[in-house]
Amino acid sequence: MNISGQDLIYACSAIGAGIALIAGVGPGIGQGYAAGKGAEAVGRNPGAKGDVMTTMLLGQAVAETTGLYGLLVAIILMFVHPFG
Amino acid sequence: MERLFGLDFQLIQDVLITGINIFILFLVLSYVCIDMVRDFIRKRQEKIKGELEFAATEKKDAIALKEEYDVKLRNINAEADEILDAARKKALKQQNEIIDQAKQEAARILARAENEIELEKKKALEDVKQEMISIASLMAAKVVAANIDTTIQDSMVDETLKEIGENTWLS
Amino acid sequence: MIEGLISYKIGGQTLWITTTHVSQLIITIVLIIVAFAVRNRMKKAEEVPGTFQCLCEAVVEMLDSMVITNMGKRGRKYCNYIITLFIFVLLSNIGGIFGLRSPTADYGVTLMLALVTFMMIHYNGIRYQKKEYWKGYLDPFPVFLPVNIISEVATPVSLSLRLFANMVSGTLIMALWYALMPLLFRFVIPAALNVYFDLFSGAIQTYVFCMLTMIFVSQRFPEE
Repeated sequence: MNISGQDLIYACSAIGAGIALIAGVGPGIGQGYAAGKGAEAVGRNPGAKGDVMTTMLLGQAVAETTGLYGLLVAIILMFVHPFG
Repeated sequence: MERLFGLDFQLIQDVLITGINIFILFLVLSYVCIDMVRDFIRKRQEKIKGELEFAATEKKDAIALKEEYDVKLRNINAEADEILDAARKKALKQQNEIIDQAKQEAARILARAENEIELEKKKALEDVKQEMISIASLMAAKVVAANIDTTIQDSMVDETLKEIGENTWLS
Repeated sequence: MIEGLISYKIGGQTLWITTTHVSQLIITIVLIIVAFAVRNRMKKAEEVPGTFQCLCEAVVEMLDSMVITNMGKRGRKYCNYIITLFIFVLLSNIGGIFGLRSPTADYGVTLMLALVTFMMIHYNGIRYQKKEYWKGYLDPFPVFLPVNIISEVATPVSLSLRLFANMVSGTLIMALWYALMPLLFRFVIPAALNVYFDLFSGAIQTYVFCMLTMIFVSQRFPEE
C-alpha cells in the first residue's frame, strides 16, 4: 500500500478534526450547568420564567462558542485542507 | 468554485459587498419605513395621551359641576322652606290684619247702627209726643164740641192720659 | 459549500460572485419591497390598525424597547441600525428553510457585521472615554499592550466566528444528512433538524449577536 505525502496529510487532518471535537466537552458541561441553574431559578421564582429563559439561552449561546470553535477547526481541517 | 472558509481576496470582496449591501439596506429601511412607523406610534401615543388628559379634565369639570348642582339642590330645599315660611308668616299677618280690619269694621258698623237706632228712638218719641199732643188737642176739640160738663171733660182727659201712660209722657 | 457563479478578474486576482451574494441580494430586495409596502400601508394608516400594520408596529416597538433597555437613552440613535441588523441576520439565518444558502454561513458576511460593531465600539470609546480609552490599552502595566490589543481584536473575531460557526455547522449537518442518508430518511425526519438548526439556532444567534453588539457598544458610553 503506497501512502503519498498528500494522503498522510489528509489522514492527519482527519485525526486532528476528531481531536478538535474534544472541545465539545467544555460547552456541554457549561450549558448543562447553566440549564441546571436556570431550572433552579425558575423553581425558586416561577414568575420570572421568561427572563430566566432569555438570560439562560443567551449565556448558553455564548458558552457554546468555544465548542463551535472546535467544530470550526474540525470542519476546516476536513473540508478546506489548509495543509495541502 | 467551491469554498467554505478562506482568508484570501475573496473574503475581502465578500466583506466589501456585504458592507455596501448592509449600508443600503440600513438607509432604505430607516428612511423608508422604520422612522415612519416610529413616528406614527409616537403620534398615536401623543394623541391617546392628549385624549386621556382631555377626558380627565372633562371628568374633573363634570365632578365640579355636579358638586355645584348638589349644593344648589340642597340649598334649593332650604330656600323653598324659607320662602314657604315667609309666605306663611305673611299670610298669617295678612289674615290677622284682615280679621282686625273686619272686627273694626263690624264694631264701627255696630256703633253706627246703635247711633241710628238711638236717633230713630228719639225720632219716634218725638213723633209719639207730637201724636199725643195732636190727639189731646183733637180730644179737647171733641170735648169742646160735644159740650160735655167739665167733670166729664176732666175725667176724660185723665182717662186719656192714663191710657197713654205717664212714663211716655214724662220722658 | 459556497458555489461560485460568475468570475471576474481584478489586479490578477480571480474573484467570484457566489451563491452567498445571490441570496443576500434576494433578502435585500425582499426587505426593500416589504419596506415600501409598509410605507404604503402606513401612509393611509388608520387609527385602528390592521394586521399588517400591527405587525410592523409590534416589530419596531419590541426592538426599540430592547435597544433602549440594553443601551439606555444614548442608544436611541442606534435603534435603526440594530433593527436593520436584527431583521437582516434573522432572515439570513432562517433563509435555509426557504432554500437559500444562508448568507451568514459565509465568513465574509459575519466578519462585515462584526467589523461594524467593532467600529462602533471604538468610535464610542474614543468619543466618550477619551483619556481612559487610551489608558485602557496600558491597563495594569504598559507591558500588557499587545495582550490588550489582541483582546480588542478578539471581540469582532469571536463575534463573527460565533455566528458563522453556528450557521455553517447547521448547514453542514443538513448537507451531510442529505448526502449520507438513504432516500427514505431524506423526508420528514430532516424537518426536526431544520427546525432546530435553522429556526431555533438562527433566532437565538440573531438575538445573541444583537445583544452582544448592544452590550459592547453601551459599555463605552459615559456613566450617566
